[in-house]
Amino acid sequence: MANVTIDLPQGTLDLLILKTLAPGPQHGWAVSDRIEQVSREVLSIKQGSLYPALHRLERRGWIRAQWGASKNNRRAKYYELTNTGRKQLEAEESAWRQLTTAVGQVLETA
Amino acid sequence: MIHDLLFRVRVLVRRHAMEADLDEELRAHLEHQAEKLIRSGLSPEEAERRARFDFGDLDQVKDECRRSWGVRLIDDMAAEVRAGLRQARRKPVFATVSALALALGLLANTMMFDGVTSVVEQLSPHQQPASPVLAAQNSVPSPPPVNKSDARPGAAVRKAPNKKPSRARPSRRSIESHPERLPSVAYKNVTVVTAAFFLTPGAARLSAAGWMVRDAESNRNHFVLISGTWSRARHETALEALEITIHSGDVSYTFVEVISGNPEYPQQEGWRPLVHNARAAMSNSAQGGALARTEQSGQCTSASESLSHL
Repeated sequence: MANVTIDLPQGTLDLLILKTLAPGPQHGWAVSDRIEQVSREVLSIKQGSLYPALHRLERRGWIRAQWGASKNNRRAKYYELTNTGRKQLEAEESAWRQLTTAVGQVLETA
Repeated sequence: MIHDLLFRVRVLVRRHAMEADLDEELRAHLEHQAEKLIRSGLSPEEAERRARFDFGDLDQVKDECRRSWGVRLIDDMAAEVRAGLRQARRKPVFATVSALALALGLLANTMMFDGVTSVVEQLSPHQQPASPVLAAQNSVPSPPPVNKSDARPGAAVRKAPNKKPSRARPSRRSIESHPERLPSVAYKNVTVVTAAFFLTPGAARLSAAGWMVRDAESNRNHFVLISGTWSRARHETALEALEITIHSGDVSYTFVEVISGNPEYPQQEGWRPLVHNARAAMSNSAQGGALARTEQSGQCTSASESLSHL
């Protein structure tokens, strides 16, 4: 079970990116790595879908980007949440919890 | 919404910089991933190969990123135009013949629809209305006919088929000389499409105004021109003439209203010019007139009210 990798359900990538950026700015690779680490490598982000999602969130104004230096002194593009993004994160988190609770109830009782 | 728009504008304006940023961002990602794999024990070459493999098709990812910028449509259109221009340069004769064929086709279509429209209009019951359409948002009864012995404001109408709207100021004699030929005035609700002013330099008040209105019943546009109204009182007479010309297709109707030097008369009688953004319209052109777009009928501001705030 521990080695099973699950592809992200449709629509959850935005939520995971926003949540990962909540503590502070991260660059794209770090976001991907962080999600895999926290999920103990159960969740696998298709790396090719990460960057379009980041750019889409930036376009919506939920995150902003600026260039900086990474830990190994490489130039990297850092993303951070905007105020709008924080509100969106709260809303999406709440909706996700409601959804999982409802699905869980159905699975347990049906 | 604003973020979205600004982002798209930024992409269009700084396209090369955005592309360069994207390249560098993806390259940095691959380098980070390769370093991680090297730390896990792979050789640098193997780590780099594995990182690229895991990442997938780089060009496809770039394309997905460009798609997420929201300017795909503009990109595609620009590409189509460029391709078209390249083709036109390669085969100029073919391009010229194609353009001419298209132009002729458009012309033929236009002429055909014009002919069909004229036939339909002839068959339509609205082709020649029994009474002219009065361009006013109106809830008051029709004004009384002109009475020679009465100095009160009156109304008169003359119909001038196949004649463009005249802006000549009617004399009092012309107003009162043919009352028997004048049909009654019909008031209708109309929607103002555009409004325009024509300022007379040095004049204290509005000299002329015009509206493009849409008649809700016939669903047709009419051009309404008001000339010679709100001009300064003349010394020789206390009466002022208000000429309103409605131009609908080939037929023009000219209403001549007698006003008694009262600039508020048109408003009192239900003539309510729909004027919005009058200040902006005026400021755009000091003398030549300007367009003021309106979107609703019903509530309106009279021209005199608007002008008083200028």
